[in-house]
Amino acid sequence: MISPQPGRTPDLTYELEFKNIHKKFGDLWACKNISLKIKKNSIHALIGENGAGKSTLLKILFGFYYPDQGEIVFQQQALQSMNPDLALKMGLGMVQQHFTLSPEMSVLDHLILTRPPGSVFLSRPKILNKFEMLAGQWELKVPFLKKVGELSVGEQQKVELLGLLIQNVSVFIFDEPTAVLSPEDSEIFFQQILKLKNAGKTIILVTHKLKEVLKWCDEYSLLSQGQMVQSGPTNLENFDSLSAKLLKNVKIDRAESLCSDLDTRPLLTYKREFSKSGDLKFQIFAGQIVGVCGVEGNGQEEILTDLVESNRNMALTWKKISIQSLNNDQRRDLGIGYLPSDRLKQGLILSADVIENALLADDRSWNFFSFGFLRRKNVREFLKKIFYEFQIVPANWKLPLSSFSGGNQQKFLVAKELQKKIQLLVAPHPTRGVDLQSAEKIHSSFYDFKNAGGSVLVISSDLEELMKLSNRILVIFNRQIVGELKNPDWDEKKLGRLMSGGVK
Amino acid sequence: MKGLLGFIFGLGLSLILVSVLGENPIHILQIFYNSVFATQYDLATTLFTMTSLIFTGLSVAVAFHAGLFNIGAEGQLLMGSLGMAISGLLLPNLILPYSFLWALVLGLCLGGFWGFIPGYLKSRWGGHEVIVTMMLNFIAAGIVNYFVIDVFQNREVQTPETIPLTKEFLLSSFTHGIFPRTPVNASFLFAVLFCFLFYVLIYHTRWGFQLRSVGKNPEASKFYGVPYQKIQIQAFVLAGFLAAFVGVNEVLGFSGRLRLGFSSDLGFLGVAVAMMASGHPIGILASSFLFAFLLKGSLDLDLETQTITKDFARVIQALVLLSVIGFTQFPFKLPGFKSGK
Amino acid sequence: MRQLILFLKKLKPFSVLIGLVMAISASLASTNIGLILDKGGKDDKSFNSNAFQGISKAQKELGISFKFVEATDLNSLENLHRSFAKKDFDLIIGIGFVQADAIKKVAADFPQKKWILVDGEVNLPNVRSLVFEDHEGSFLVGALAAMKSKSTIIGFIGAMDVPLIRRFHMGFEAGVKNVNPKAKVLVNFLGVTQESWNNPPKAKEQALSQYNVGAEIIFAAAGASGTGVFDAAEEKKKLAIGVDSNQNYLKPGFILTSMLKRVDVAVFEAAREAKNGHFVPGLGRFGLKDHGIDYSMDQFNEKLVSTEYRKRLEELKQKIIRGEIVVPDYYKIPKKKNI
Repeated sequence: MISPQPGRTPDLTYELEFKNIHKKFGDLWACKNISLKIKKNSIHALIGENGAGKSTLLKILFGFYYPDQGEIVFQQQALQSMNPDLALKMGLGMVQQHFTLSPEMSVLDHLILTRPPGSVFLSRPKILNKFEMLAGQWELKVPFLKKVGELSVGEQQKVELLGLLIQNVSVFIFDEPTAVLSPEDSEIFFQQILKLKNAGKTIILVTHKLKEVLKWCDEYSLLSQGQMVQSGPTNLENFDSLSAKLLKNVKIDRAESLCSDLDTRPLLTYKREFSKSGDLKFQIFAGQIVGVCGVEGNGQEEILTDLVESNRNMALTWKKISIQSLNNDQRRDLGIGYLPSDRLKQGLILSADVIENALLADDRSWNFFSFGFLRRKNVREFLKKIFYEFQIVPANWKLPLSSFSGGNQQKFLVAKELQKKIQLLVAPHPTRGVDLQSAEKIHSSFYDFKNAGGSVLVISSDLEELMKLSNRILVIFNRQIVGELKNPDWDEKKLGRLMSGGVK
Repeated sequence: MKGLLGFIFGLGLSLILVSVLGENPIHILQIFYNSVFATQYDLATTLFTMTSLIFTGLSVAVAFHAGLFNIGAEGQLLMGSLGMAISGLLLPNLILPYSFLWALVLGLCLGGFWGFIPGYLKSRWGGHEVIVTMMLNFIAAGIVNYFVIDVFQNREVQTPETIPLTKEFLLSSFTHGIFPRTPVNASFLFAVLFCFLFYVLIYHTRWGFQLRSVGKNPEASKFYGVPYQKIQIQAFVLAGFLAAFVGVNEVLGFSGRLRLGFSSDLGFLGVAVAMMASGHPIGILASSFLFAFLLKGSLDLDLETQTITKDFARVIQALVLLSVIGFTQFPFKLPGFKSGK
Repeated sequence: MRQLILFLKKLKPFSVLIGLVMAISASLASTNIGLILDKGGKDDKSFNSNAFQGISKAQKELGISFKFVEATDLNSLENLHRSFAKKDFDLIIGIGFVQADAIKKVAADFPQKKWILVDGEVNLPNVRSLVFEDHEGSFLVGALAAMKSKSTIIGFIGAMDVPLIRRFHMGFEAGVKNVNPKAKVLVNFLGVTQESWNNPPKAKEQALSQYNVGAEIIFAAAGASGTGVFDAAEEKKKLAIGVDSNQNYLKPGFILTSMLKRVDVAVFEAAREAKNGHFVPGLGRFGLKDHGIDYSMDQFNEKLVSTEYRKRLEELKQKIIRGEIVVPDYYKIPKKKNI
């Protein structure tokens, strides 16, 4: 399929072309006259807020949707009646943001499922051999015989990539590939991407991280509200110019993140002993945003579980009351609010509409029910308020949550939680997989909450976010707090060393 | 909606099949029609079956909304019926209205208890409700058998059945003369009323929302402090209550005693009824009628034609059932509809 | 038309099949009988098959015509009887005690129609009830089993645990004890649900376990499930006893005998009386005396039952008929006091 000929005509410089794509869902323009050219042998970034039309565009490419108008040209051929299977055969491969691997299968079995070309009958050693060669060639070493569930996120991504490579895919599309990766893994990932590019492949990245775009990508296309805003080479842009374009229509309420006068009484004290590594303890004061940073798996999960669920084997004090044995309902009543760390799994009922999701974890003071019976009017008024305050779109409460973008889903969850009479919000990964505009909105809501006397505990692996938000950053390593930095004395290098256990 | 389409598709398929056998499909349709609407008795018999199917359908549906699969409606309805059938034999001297209430309470308690067991095992120890309810069906059948044959057997007749209840315990003591001398009785009205109450309960109360959130996303319910273990148990107890109401229809409403084998897999048909309606109570009203119609109609096919035997009638039932399930479960798009939106 | 009918009538003796089809399709001006079989259906190789044979024989030999249906469940029976009653049938025959209820209701509503209930009792002026002394036959096959068996363990496998099957068991055990008071009878029922009437795999399993603990002969009072017991007998090279129909041919050499319950005779006689316009309401009993109940002897089991055994059996039979031996009847044992 790939035919890099020396004397190519100008036409051949484009691998993929979207021509005047229109797609409308009901009254909503998902894509409005989008035209886009993607150069062969380049890394092209698709950026824009959630709901800007990026996903729709890609879904049209893979035949999940048909465009209302327009056409797609791939390798000088107009595509007609696409489907995902055909797309793969033609050389279009996609790695989803949420991997499509089944955790109980071994890596090899999973790769066999991707139907590597070859004979009808499977010979496992042969296939293994083939994959090992491929892995060697691309430096994508993965443990082929382990279960997928035992792999790290980075390794899983490699598995997905191998599955595409064996199919001789020529255009690779990644949907927010680094959203779940640690900074080091991201670096490794981009090195691999470069290798692909050098081998003549074309790469499309959907991402929210502008730094990545500037550092690694050749070209970018900025979409907003279903329309193409700008497209061009990245070397003409810098971070500020690009983020200005992205945030053009958003008013950002940048509250000062200086230490306010702290209440000296701790709001929450956490203390848990681990037999191997010693104590894990910290305190949160009123009117503070406290960040916890660290490489994943160093104790963040334990902290979260202890804050949410009852655990008698530790000490959790809330304004001098021991609350470790209370369940999360009782803790909510005391004034602790929670955001889920995985909003799709724990936070939302995707198949249910907005109203039903509002009812999940309602606050009695909202009067959604009287005598156990639903009062729909109260719910509507409540929704009207938070949808307006948080600019959640579309403001249609009959839609299932699955048809909202990640940013809007997260804003909905944050808004709901902040409407409660809480003093502390536990916010793990508050903007993971969220577009910049929505992240700004969430951050500013945290500031407002803090300025009104509330506290937020942010657990995140996104250092930038933590440094922007927090009054204090606690660094966690091997289930211990190994360091604490205070605003504004941020030192990225020091943080990095603390996170990797370099300073004791 | 898809369920109805599936029903029509299955029926059409069956008609093609019977035409191959040499029957006139129009004639078959006529038989089907007459089987329900020809006489008062026919309609009454259909509504009688429908009543039981509504109860078991709701029983399956309530668990269904909580993300649980209640295969145990059969056992729950047996225990409920047993309680009602022996209530009057345990305390024969009660007078109205306590007699009837006592029968109702004993039956519902036994049925509810039979629902409580799988609910408790599920929420406390994660015992899989399908296995547990299936096993409980056999246990219920054994217990009922023991009581019917060894303790309360009616020795006037050879059929295995309990001693008949006196009329103080029967539903007809309240509705005397309102219903014609046919199987259908006041519990039909209960059943219809329950469908509407069920609708309100599931879609308009806090409990209903909690129930459905447990069913749709247990993780999220847990995270947001919905007492999902309690809800699971409550859902199963309610399922047991609803299934036990079959006893009101059969024992207190119709025969006045417990006859072994009176339930022709009503509990299992309830699964089909609930599935066809996707658990929606108003849909259950429709699907239970269609199934009652199908049961009665295919029986009459055996009676009215030469080629269609009991076994072939079963083929028709199975065809319709399969296509209903196929249409409701298979994620195809109806033209003009967008799926999931 | 008449010639055609005459021609067909001539054909009948030659082919049962053609006769059957034609009798159903052509409306012959003959006695019309409706037959309602029990859930087991006409192919249960036992009780219902027997009834079906009786009616088929009546069709062949008496020239009656009939229509049969099979019940699906308890609550469908009334519907079936009612539909038959509305149609042009001279006689409606219900097979099996479970139909008593339905017949009682419908017969009261249609006093001009006639019913016969086989194996159950209904006291109405337009119903004739035919009952069988199952316990007497069970006694005889029990006695034979005790004579034949070298061990003192004898098996009984019943279908569903209902009074009817207990009646079989009670008679059988009495027969065994009559010959060998020391003998022990193992009893298993196949279940408590309707499926137990048609569950050969489970019957086989239970039979195998009875054979394994030393039983040499098992009486299978289990309707269509009985074939499982016969399979087990063949596998273990032991013996079994059939029920209702003559089942000796099913596994020649492994079926000692079958307790005959001549439902076919009863049905045939009923058809004959209906044809002659003769109908006597009330109770008709079939027992050893009139060969309504018997044990089977044919070429398949003559090697298994010696002449000496036969002689002793015939003696026992005569004693029962004369009333010298009273076989206990489960239906008549004193009522337990109900709470």
